[in-house]
Amino acid sequence: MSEIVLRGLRKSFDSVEVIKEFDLTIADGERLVFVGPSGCGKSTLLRMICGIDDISFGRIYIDGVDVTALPAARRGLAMVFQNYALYPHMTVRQNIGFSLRVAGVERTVASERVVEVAQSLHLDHLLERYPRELSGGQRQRVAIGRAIVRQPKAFLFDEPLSNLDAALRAEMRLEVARLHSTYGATMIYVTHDQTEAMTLADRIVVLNQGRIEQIGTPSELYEQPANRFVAEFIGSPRINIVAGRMGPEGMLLMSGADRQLPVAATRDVLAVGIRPEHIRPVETGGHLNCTVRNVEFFGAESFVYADCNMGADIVFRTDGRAPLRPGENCQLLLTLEQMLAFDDGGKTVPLQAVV
Amino acid sequence: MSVFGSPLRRSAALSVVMTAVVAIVFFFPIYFMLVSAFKSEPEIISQRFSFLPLDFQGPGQFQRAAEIAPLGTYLFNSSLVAAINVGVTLLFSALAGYGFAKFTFPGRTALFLFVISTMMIPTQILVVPLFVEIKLLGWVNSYQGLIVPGMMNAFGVFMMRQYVYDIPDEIIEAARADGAGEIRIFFFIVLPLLTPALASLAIIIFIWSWGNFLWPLVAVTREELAVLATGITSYTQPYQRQPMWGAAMAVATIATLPLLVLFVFFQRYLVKGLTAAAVKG
Repeated sequence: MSEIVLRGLRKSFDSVEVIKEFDLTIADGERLVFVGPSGCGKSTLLRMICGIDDISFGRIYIDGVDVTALPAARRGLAMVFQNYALYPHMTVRQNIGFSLRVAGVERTVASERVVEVAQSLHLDHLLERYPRELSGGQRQRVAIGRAIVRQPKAFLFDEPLSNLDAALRAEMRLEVARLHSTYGATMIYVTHDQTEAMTLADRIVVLNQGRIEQIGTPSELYEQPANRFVAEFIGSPRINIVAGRMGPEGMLLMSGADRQLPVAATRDVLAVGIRPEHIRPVETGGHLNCTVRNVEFFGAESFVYADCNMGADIVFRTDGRAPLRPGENCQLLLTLEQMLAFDDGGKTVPLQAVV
Repeated sequence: MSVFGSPLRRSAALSVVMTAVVAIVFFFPIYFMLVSAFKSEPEIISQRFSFLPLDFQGPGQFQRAAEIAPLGTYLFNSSLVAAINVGVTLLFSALAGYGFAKFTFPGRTALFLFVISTMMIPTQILVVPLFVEIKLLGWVNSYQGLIVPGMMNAFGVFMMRQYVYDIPDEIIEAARADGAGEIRIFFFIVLPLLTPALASLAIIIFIWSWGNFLWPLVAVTREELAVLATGITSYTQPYQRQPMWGAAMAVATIATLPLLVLFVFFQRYLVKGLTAAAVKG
């Protein structure tokens, strides 16, 4: 249970600055997710908080106490690693109990706690096994158990599910969410997987090249991305981005569209974005004329890829039973209120409907 | 159907024959030693070699060996020196290897190269300077003089460093996050993971120490400090009597036994350890 405050954190490897002036307050009990492409510095950040990596500049406070100079061992945080990092020569029981042994917890108390944790993670029948005798999912459970058993001030997860297959990942995602609601401790979770980020986070921090692009709830990031990077990073299939500019009558001109769109921007724009679910095929009166290129059928819905003379294909979401076939022509109607526009710096430009 | 029918069979047969020849060449001295320990003195030095003792001596040569020289003392000294050398070398090698593999500090590469480069200096060159050193320390004719120079081993450091490299950083980081201090991490996480490597290094150091002749010969002149390797010379280079080859062979047999036993039990580790280090090096 604790609040973690990061003040002016910076990290350089030799002359390369991987974390640039980072400020963030993580509330007590919050589920915070760092998300970003590989190399954006999210894991480094987590390791700095944990105390595994040194900090070049800045301070870290846990519950108001400056822990910047404290070694990992004395920060009271627990970390779960991507490759599990179990101790290969110890049984599950010893792995989970190691931190208690280090802390000098009395043997009987420790052993009870280990069993308790193992039960909550459905590991109680595997206590005498060695890590090499476990499946990937079981290993990850042990790694999580090792974190829980210490009752830490906060849990740090470093891409814990990325070595698991899709089905197991979905299952473990729920498990992590359940654990958080059981223990209620602050949780910082690093991932490059936006599904994990969206489903697990109270707040998401989108990182890019060691900088914060945006902080917000999952729905804020999705609906009001601060810039093009965030808009493109969050959402699957990815948002459609096409060239656009303001026309002579102060209305939006979009590459490929045959007329001006009745929306206006306060500043000049360079690109326009629209999410796949804000596009729908219509019989007449659409904004775009397209040829269907490919249809991906998922059952309840289909993703349709269409060539609208815009360079890149436009992707949109339809009902799974929509009767579109590759090679067909169709008209697409855009939900104008949901459109996003970006200036030459990639920043989001507010749009207003023109009546 | 001939055994040597196909070319494949022929080459297999050839390799068996060659292996057998090499094995015989290597085994013969050991056999010679063993069989001579049960022969009479004239029979050993006679021109005609017999594969089995014509005049079987039983434990006679062993008894004679024990009467002439303090065999028990030699055995004790050899064991003591080997045990301390193995123990201390293992500890220091693992510590240094861990340091070189997992910690970054200024001058790490230079220091490591320096350690490695000492492997290129033959022991014979070091004998005189080392002797001068222990003389200055007043350690001539003492256990310290006998043991201390063998307590560090550059090869051990090198070998351990290669093995520690293979331990994933995350395991050590996880231990740190689990609250373990550096000493505990070394003894509870790193050392247990090095067990196979330590076993093979132990055998290598034991063999080296047990068979080391030159240094004990130089460092020690008193009989109560002599080790087996030097002790054997009291049978072959006596001052007032004939050489006693039979007794020497009996002592040599005793000296070889611990090595044989070790080898049989740990052979798997030894081969694995040596080849692993070679491949990774």
